[in-house]
Parts: sequence; structure tokens; C-alpha cells
Amino acid sequence: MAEEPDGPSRAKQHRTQWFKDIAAQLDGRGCLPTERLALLVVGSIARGWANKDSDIDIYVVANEPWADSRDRMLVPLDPDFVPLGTQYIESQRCEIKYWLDSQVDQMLSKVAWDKFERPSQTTKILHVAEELFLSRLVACIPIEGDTWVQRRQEQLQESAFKALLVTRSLAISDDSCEDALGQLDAGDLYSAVLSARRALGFSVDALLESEGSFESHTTKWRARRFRAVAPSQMKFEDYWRLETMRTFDAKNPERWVIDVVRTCKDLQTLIEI
Amino acid sequence: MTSDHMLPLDGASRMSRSLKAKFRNFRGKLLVAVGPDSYEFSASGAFILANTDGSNTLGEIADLLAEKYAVDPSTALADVVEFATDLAKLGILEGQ
Repeated sequence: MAEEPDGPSRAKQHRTQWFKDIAAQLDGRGCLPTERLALLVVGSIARGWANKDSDIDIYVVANEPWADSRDRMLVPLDPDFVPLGTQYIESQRCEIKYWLDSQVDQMLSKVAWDKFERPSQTTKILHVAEELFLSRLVACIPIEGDTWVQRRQEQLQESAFKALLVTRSLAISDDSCEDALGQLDAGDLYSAVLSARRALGFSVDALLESEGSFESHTTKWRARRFRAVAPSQMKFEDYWRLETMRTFDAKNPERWVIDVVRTCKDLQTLIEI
Repeated sequence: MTSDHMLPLDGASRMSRSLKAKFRNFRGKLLVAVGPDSYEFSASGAFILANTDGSNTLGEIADLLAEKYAVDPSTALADVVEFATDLAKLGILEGQ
């Protein structure tokens, strides 16, 4: 991708100003709580991976619940919902989620180290929306509330969040490897191939999570996350060769399945939890 | 399942980690689970396991071990062969 003529820092300034303009417009339309702790741009736009059709994802954090919304997302927290809002700014769709600071407290308490000591629960500690919130907190752009964001990022850094996600992804990869091998034994080659693909995805997610790159549920960004992290344990070309099934032989799918499972096992020894 | 039919092993043997074993690199320790059994390996054991990927013979792994831990190559070879034999019996390593 070509660098912008003014250089990355100038581009970042432009982008930050653009986000502030968007926030001002949302504020002017009465779409933001007056008393708020933080206003964050998250997702692909915050990472610089957006395209012209991408939504602008915004998280608002406040102490008081947002009442002016009919749409809500259910979460296993108290209160058990997050109000949602949608606005269009210059034909660009803007999605707003209204989180409470107390809900952030609850999410962080779910990823405390004592939860990690209970291995049977590590795969189901967080709801997808909770994992996404915490993941996005790492790579957000604060429009307002820098101090709040910094404090929450530090709390997340000190928590077992990363260890929990890595453990979760490795466990699913293990299950998928077992499935793939069992299906090969049973002659169910189509299922074995799909299980191996799943194992690979979760192994790579574990690798990226161990390097602090989260949002694994959004699989469309896996390759970009890989390139951004550039992990020492695996070359992008090797990952991409398997992901795109370049060496897959329809006449001998077993070979590709075994190659993938072996790669997953190799990664297990290299990924530090 | 063990690889008894591959035994005895020697410096020319080529082994790889079992596809049925589960590995975790947890806080510098290598944990391995095979079926209901789990094992924890020291740094040198983890080093041998990490290099047992089918691309090296046990003799070559012993050379790497001797260099890393500054031990006599013949002692390293004996240790690696004994270690690999034990792990093959546990189903953690399998022959190529």
C-alpha cells in the first residue's frame, strides 16, 4: 500500500481530526450521552484496515445507562444488554455501542488470573461481545477519555485475558486435530479436511493472540493480523500456503490434512502461554 | 499407542512428535498430554522435544544439545536416545 504523501503522522492527525468531527456530529444529533468517560473508535477503521464501505464502529463508555435506543445487544453482564445506535454520516454507516463502566469492570473481573486456574472453564469464560470489547480496547483510537483508556488497557495487560484466549484457541485446535485424525481413520476425508482447516485457523489465532493481536472471531482479518504481527514462529508464506490450500491434492487429501495437523502440533510447542 | 516396533533407537533414528499428543509451552515449561496422562518436561527435555520434528536424527539432536548445554557429545547422545526411547514408549514420539 502506498504511503500517503504527507507521511503517516500527518495522515494520523487527519484521521484523528476526522474522528473528532464525526463525534461532534453525533453529539449534535443527540446520539451521545452528555456525561461520558470515553469515546472510542474501534475495529477496522481504528486499525487502518478499512475500505470505503466499512462501518465506523464507536464505543461509548459512561456511568449511566443510555436510554435513547430501541436496539440492544444481549450480554451476560449486569445489566444484561448494551444499547445500540446507528447513524449515517456523509453516507457512511456509523454503529455505536453504549457500554457502562460497571460492565467493563465485570468483564475485566472475568479475566482475572484466578479464573485461569480453572482450566475446565477457560474456553467459555467470555461471550463473543465481551471478548470483542476487550480485544478492541487494545487497538482502539480514543477520541475522548485517554486516561480512562490507558487505565483500562493497563488492567487488561495485567489480567489473564491473553492467556485465556491462547488456551481457548489451542484447546479448540486440539479438538479439531483429533476430529481430523479420527475422520481420516474412518475414511471421512471431506470432514477431515474441514476439521484440519478449523484446527489451522485456531492454531494461528492462538499464535497471534500470544503476540497480543486479538479479535480472533473476526476471521476475515487473520491474514492482516498475521502480517502486522509477523510472528517469529511461522513465516507468513508458510501460513498462507496452508490457508489457501495450495498444496492440497484432491486425489490425496490425507497428505494435506496430516501436514496441517503436524503444523498445528509444531505451533503448540512454540506458542508461549 | 507406542512405537515399540521402532525400538531400539540409536543416533541414526529419526523421530517426530505424535500427532495425538497435545503440547503446551506454559511459562517456560513444556507440558505434554497423551490421552489421560500428562507430563512436564525440563528445559533440556523441552529442547529435545522441540527439535524432534522428523527433520533431525537423534544424533543431530544430540549435537545440538551438546552445543547448547556444553556437555560431552557421547553423553548427550546417550541421554537423547534414552529420552526418546522413554517418550516413544509413552506415545509422545513416533518413528518416521
